[in-house]
Amino acid sequence: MLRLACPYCGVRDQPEFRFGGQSHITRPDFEVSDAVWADYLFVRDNLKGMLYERWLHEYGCGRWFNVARDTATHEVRAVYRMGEAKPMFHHEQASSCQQTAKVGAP
Amino acid sequence: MQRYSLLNLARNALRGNKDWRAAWRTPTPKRGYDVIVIGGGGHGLATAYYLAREHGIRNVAVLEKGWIGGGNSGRNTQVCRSNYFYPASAAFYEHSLKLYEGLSRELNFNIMLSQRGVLSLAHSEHELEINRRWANATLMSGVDSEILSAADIKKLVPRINLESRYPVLGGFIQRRGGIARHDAVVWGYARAASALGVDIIQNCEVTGFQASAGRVRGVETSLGAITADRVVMSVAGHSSVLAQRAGLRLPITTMALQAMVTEPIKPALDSILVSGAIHAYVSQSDRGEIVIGGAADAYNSYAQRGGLPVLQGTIAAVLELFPSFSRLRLMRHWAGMVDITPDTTPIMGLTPLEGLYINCGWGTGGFKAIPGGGHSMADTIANNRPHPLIERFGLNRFENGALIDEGAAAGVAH
Amino acid sequence: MSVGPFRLPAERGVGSAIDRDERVRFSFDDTTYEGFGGDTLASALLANGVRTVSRSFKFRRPRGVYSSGIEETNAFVQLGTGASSVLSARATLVELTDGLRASSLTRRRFDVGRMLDVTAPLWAAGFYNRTFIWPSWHTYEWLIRRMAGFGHAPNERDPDRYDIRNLHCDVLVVGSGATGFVAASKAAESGARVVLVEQANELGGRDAWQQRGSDPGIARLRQLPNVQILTRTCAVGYYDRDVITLLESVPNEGACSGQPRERYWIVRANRVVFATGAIEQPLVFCNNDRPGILLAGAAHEYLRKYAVACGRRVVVATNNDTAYAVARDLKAGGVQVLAVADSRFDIPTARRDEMRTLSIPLHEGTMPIDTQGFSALRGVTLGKLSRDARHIESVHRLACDALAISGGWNPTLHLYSQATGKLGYDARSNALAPQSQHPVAMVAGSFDHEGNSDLGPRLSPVGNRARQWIDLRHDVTVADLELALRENFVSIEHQKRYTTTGMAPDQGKTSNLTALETVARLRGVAPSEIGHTTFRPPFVPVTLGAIAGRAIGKRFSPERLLPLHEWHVRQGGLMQDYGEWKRPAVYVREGESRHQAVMREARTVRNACGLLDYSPLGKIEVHGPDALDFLNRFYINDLRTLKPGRARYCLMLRETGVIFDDGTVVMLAPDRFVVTTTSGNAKRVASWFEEWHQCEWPHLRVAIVPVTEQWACFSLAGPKSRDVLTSLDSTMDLSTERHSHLGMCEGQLIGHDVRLYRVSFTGELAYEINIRAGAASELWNALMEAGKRHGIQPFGLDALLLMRLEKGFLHVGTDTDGTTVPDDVGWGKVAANKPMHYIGKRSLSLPEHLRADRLQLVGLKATTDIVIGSHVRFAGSSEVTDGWVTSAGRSVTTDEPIALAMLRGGRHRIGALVRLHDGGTITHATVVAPPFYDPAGDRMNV
Repeated sequence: MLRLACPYCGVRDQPEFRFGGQSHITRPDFEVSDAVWADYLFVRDNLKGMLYERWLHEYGCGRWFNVARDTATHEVRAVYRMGEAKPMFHHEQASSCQQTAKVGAP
Repeated sequence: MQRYSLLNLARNALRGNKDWRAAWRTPTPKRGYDVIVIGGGGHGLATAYYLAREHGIRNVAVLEKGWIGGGNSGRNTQVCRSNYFYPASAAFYEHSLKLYEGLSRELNFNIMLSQRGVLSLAHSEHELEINRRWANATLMSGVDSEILSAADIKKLVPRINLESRYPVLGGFIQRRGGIARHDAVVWGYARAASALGVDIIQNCEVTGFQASAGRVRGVETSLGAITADRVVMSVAGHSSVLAQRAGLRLPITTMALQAMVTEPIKPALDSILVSGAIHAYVSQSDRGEIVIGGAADAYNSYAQRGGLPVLQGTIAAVLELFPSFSRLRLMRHWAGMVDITPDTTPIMGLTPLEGLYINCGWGTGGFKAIPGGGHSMADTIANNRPHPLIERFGLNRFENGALIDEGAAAGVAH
Repeated sequence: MSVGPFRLPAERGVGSAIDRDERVRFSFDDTTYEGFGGDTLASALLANGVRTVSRSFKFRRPRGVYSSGIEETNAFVQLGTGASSVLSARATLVELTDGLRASSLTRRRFDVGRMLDVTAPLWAAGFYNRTFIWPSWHTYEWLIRRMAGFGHAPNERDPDRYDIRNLHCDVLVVGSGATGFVAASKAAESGARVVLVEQANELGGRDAWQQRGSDPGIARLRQLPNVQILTRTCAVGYYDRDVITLLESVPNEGACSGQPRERYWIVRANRVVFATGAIEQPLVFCNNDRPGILLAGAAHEYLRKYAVACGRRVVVATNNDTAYAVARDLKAGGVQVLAVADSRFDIPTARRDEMRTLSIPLHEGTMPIDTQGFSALRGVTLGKLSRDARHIESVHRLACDALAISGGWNPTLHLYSQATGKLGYDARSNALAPQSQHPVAMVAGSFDHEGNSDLGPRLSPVGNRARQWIDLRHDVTVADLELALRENFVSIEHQKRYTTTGMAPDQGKTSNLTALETVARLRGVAPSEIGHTTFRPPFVPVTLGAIAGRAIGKRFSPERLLPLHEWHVRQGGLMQDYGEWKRPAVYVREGESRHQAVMREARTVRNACGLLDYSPLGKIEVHGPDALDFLNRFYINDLRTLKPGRARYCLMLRETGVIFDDGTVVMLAPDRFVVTTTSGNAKRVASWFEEWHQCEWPHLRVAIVPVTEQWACFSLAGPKSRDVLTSLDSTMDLSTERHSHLGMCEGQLIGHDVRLYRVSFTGELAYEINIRAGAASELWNALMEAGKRHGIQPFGLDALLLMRLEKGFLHVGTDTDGTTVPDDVGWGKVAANKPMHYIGKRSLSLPEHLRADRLQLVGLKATTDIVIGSHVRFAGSSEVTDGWVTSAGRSVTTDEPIALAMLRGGRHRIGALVRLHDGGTITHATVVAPPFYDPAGDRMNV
């Protein structure tokens, strides 16, 4: 069972929270191509290692916040509020700047 | 391949089983192959088998980073069915189920397909309506389906508690649905593929791809570089990680899916029950264990471990359906990593990198698709175009919006 | 009746756990026996000379008590019968109580299955894969299934209850042996909150008999306020973030005791100490499975704690120092110890001296290589090993009735492994050992078990490998492992899966290590190269009921009840599940069918007036200077033209363009809105607003307040509804001029604040009346009373949905699914014309969403009833399906069968005759453009 330290309430058990997927996603402009839009809709970081994600303290304060968590170990490396810059971790930098390839087959 | 028959069995028994030979060879990897299959799970081995058998492409290597069948092929709850809502899905899964139906004989290996019927439950009038739409959809697709009343269900599953918190009002069954022994499917394909010349190489991890001029040329592995100008990835649970090494980002979220078994008991449940509303499915294995599965732990994970809340919720759901199972004991629980796509439909076919093919995104339902997946991927690789059954499953559907959202249509986990 | 021929008298100084004054009667397979208070079922059975307690899974070989604890592989019994029975209990853990009725799970005395043993080579590993191919597995499966499994599940609901308890502590100590006790004491002294867990019923661990809980240290520990001690409690699972689960069995189980049968503890610990000791491992030799062969440590425990001799003539076989104490104490207890066979050559002098003093023959470099007997052990063949332990140089036989074996000790690292601690094979102790440090959990004590190093061989070098059992319970032999290797199942996981070794309910606690060593030996590699199979939770099987706790039945998912729930029930409301809510579908009167009742209610609304409890309707208030801007980003409708005091029906999309929800947006004031949602989405929409506000547009000055439960909501519908409403004491002007269709007003009704919306889902003049939930009942009764002279009736959701079908109004979630975009349901123009970038808009121009052959919502008319869920095919269509019926019923006004359907390019098919497929039945219908009733909307616009 995950336990997360809500930045507003402190450490709580996982059932109080809801996972919201990758954080720090920029919503593209309306005019972008279908491919870019599809990428925004469907493609998220999904690597083994650090994931910057957002969680909602649903049965608590009702606030969204960010979590830097290792998807291989479930270790939480950082918890920070929405709008705050994501902390960088030395050995994780490689995995967080993945190549961005287009979705779509020839 | 050493044939299995009663006579052979008896003869070997008399000789103390000393004459059985390796089910598959352990070759040293060659420098290059016509096709490299990454991933020695059911899908990968089936792909290799059909490449050799249907397309005469026998210079094939299956590269497995651990031991074959060690991923989701050996962790699932063994459900086989083809009662999908959309015609594209139903046609594909029906193809797969039909292959399953002949597989023991084809592979000369008993995969223990037990067509005891997969029964989906409806817990509200709205679900009854959705069930009817769904059952009729499968009938339209030529897949067997039968609407059952609550009384029919009680007759079929006498232990069920119809008066649960969300009462069971009815359901529908695919009688040809059932379970098969997951390990046997893997081993059966491995044995048959090996006999056709496929090299199965275990403990060989693919660490990168070789590509030039927009075309794949081979792979880097823990055992050195191996060339091939056709490479297929079938690495459920690791698809995004491997795809990244080929410069691809996939619309996939990898999560842990838990499964569990109780201590074995005498036969208590014949059908395979699925309840989308309360997130549980339950069956009984031939060994007597009650096999239970539920919803995925809803966050990205590569840890191969599930959390307590889902475990508790799933068991509570099963006890709602079967209060008399309360005194049974949980013997083992585990988790697999499942690749979930936005529309719960797999991703199969070509990729932007020529010669690189992909077979992933099976979510919680890849086991039932093993023969169909292998068969259609082999055809796709051999002809360098999507097999007609998987045309709709390509990566491009996300860009043009042509999703096949089984979850949305049927509202049930699968 | 005696307390058993194998019970030693009190004067021998043994039996620390039993109370000889308390005689306990129990039965096993219908024979009555006596034991003492403090006995376990296993000790009492052994005391009574019961040798065979079960039969093995595959070959039905007789098996006896093998151990004295959780590692037991043979002695599984069923306790009791019926609802309260316990399936496959370990006799070694069952505390004997008066009247206990136990039975073996397999026939003990005669079993035709014994034939299987005679033909054992046929059933070797992989047997199932090679056979039953023709004609199909299904032909044989029923027989195999009947043979498999142990015990029948009860048919009845479990009469017992289970509790889940939560604990937080600084230090969790698992195991109360010497190490655990010291760890707990030290931690407690430092002021830490300590939880000490012991699986047995008393503290002290393996050495409990020396202390009997009377140790002053233990007494002191018990009194400390910062220490919680849980006995009969086993740590079973280790999860993320150091959450450990414990299973406590509560004595005096039973529904009448008021106590739960078991408690499932969920512990969050800052530090965890596993002082879990070790599990003794066997020696492997021919016919090592006969009743009478048991682990030496168990023989010791039965002797010391229960005064039970495992036999009259005992041979002890070991590869380490620990079994010598067993020989010594057996002898001291008056049991004849024929020999100690030690597979080592370099036996410590102290041991040799001790045996010499006791006159127990000691055979060095010797191990059992075969046994004799059938349902009980009669003799053992000892073999003198060559120096390299690869051959046997000489043999001799001893007639004996018990053989106590010790193959050394394997530390209990299951939970440490679950905690992601790394394990590896340690060549010094010939066992698994921790290979890494864990930040929270530590293993203490066990792997330094005294005398548990430099062990002698465990595996006999000679003999028929098909008779050398590795996994007793699953009948896996050395030959099976060898066969698996021969067939290239080399990985230890393949070995496990192919042979099923270690997969029985004991999960290989006394077999995984010997399997690993056997595989290493057969492959000719070091055991450390083999790896080990994954330790999957739970450590011991856990009752499903305990894991679910009380979250079953009504607590599985709480029912949400309407403020007027009781009233609806009294009026004959058919209360059905709509999500979590219980709501009246229809009020059926005596003599009426459900259909008749629905039609009556609907006609009443069409002709006079009806009242619907609509309270679950989602209600969210959105306040703030940017509220309009905020909401305008969600709906496909342009809200800039909305005026205060007006309501508008709106659709909301997911970012993928798919319809998410619908409802009315009501502008109370320029900075104050109420939006309604479908009842199923009430929570979801509020949460959706919050997510976008907090994560995407935090700069917008809005506050989102979900108020669904605060406001009860009634729909007063029908041509007479204004008359009913105006007859109540009101502060509002409800004339058409002041309060027209889609108008809103706030004011007082019978002295309570209300919000009144002129919105209609029935197609009639209708008022949505929102009132504080606490005053709901008063208003409802007033409306019913005032409506009496107009013939008012309550109506349910069935009638509502039928009337909206007649009007062709969309029902999100019924007519739409997770693929429907606005144009599919006739809202394409509205969605396209709004200039702003609202959620989902960009996706509407993806190619798939512009196709002309998308499913579109249309009406159907027929002469026979239309079944919801029927599929539709156009004449001459080559498609598998051209769509399906989403809603259907009979017109309230014409009694004609009507329906709504999503059809492929449906809007271009108006007038077409189509076929409807439902099961095997085919009927016909005509495609029409909805609505079926009052197309101009005159009836609601009055």
